[in-house]
Amino acid sequence: MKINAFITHKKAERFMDCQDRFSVNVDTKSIAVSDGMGSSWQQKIWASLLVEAFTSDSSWVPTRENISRLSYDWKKGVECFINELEQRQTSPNCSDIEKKQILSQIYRNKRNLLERKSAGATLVGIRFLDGDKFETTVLGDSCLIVWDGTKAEFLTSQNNCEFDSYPDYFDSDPLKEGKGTVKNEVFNIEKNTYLFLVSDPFSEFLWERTKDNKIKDYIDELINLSSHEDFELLVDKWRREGMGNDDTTAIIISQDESNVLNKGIIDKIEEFIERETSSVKPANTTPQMVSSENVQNSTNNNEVNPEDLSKEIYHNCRKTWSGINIYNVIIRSLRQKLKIKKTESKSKFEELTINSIREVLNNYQIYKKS
Amino acid sequence: MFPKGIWNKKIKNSQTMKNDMQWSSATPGLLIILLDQSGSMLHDYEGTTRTQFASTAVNKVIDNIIQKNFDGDAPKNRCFISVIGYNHNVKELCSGWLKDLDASPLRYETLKKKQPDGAGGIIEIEVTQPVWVEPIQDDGATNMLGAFKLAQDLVTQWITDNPDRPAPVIINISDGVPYYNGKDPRICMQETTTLVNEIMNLSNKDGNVLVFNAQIDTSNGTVKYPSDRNSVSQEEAKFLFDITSVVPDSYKSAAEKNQLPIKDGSRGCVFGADGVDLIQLIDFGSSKGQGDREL
Repeated sequence: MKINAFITHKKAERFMDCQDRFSVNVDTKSIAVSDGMGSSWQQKIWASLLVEAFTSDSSWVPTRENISRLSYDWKKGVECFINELEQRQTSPNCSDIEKKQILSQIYRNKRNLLERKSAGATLVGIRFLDGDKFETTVLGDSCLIVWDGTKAEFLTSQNNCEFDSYPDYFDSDPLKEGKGTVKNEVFNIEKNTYLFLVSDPFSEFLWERTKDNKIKDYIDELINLSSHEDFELLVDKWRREGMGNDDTTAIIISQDESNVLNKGIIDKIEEFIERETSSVKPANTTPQMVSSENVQNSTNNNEVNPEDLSKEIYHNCRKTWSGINIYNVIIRSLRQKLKIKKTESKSKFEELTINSIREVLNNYQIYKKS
Repeated sequence: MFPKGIWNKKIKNSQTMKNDMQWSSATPGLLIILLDQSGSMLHDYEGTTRTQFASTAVNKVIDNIIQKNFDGDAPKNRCFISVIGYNHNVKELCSGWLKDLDASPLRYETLKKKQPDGAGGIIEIEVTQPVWVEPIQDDGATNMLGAFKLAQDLVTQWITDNPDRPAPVIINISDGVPYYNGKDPRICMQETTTLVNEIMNLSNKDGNVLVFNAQIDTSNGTVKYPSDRNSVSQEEAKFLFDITSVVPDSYKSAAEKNQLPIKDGSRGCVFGADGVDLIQLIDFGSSKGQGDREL
């Protein structure tokens, strides 16, 4: 069996903002996805703890006692996070601006701890058993989808597959109940069946596709993913077709000749975050600009579609109230990323229209990385 | 570049628009708070002065909005907040995206707060509260018209640039009526009413711009979210009623959750607001944008 696992963030945010987490452990034959709730706090830590607990020990199940023990780890994790902030603040390398930001981070995290705020997260996990069976555990709107080639079966703890803003969840405070009842089920592994563990944007979107009998085409697109870049393009496409703008995770388990679990393409969110923190940041803290990832695939002569690109840049700039600097940063980073040779100087921001941006880009010689 | 005004659809104040779009990083909202800083705000109110009372409420609400959008690392920029103070002058007191505001309060002050201890009891804890808006010290007139003009400019620019974002919300906190340039207050009220009606007719795809009002003056008792103009007797209160939006249907669940006495046709205004009422109004005004952001 082959496992591919993909993850991406909400549009206009970054991987460091992503509150989904997943874990794949071929030794314990366990796979899990957790979605931290946006309405809570330090939910990334909570989601990570849930998926790691589920996959590191093949006997771990989310009983009240086990969740309570995990809550202790969550609180320790938060305290450790605050301690690290306090140490960073006293570091001689910390600039005044960073110190101010860290001061408010410390204030808010300490305040939340004092006010007993907690984190919430969903969980969907599967564990392969002996004898061609697997068991599932699910709480919330993260979902297991079983696809036999013609029919999709959805497993969530939500009643009637209701996807709203109030999913079931585990709470990181042991004195709080959380919401909903964990659903457990054991399945036989049927031949040629695909399994998908997905977070709620996919859950809801694909559920809606079953209603208009178009699910097969969409499932095939998921099955045929062969890279993280493909996944980003697919998510972008489905968002334009109405999929919710939220952190998105999909794990695809396909069968091959062997019964052994093998890892295929496994996204590493820590690496994505590392890449983000080491890259150049825009000059201000306005909403995150969408990257040039919406660049269309190449035409016959490997040219970027200037109209799409210019619209993207234009709209991103117009979203800010100080677009000039952002525009410069975007053009500079685009030039670096796409190896654009500058043949003409760029116009002033105030004079730019969509046509002007297109004209400027058309004058560039654009080489897309192969 | 889109010509100015292309998205500025001037329609009648209609209930067909929904105002149900949530603030998000991709579609952030705009919240404008207009804060009366005229001389009458130096009068006593609720154990302090009106200006101290109102400033504390505004600081608390900004802090709450930031806190609601804080995930542990930083606040998400789901909203741009602008606080505009007005006396005879009109000036911006603080403005910024949530992350910028969070990183740059004027100062922090220490307050005492009661909360459950998790074992059935109540404990008192010290909390640090950031301050962005300070109370006034000096006398001045009430150029509410000027404040709404600045708000109109901000809102018009926002709607032109961002037709697909949530409709802006304006919350006005005052203890009286406009008075500027030595004019008859009735003329000031008429001019301000005309302008605010223009603002309430601005709209984008999400709906009309919403204007909510809080009067911090208890001389005529307390009235909350009235639907009938005659439920307030003072001419000044009727004026504020006239420059307040009807609460859209999409706000009903927030009203129920906060146990606010809102029914069909209720306007988003509170007269004789105490501390809880004022914070509730501002919170409520920004609630649809924030969705249900707490466990």
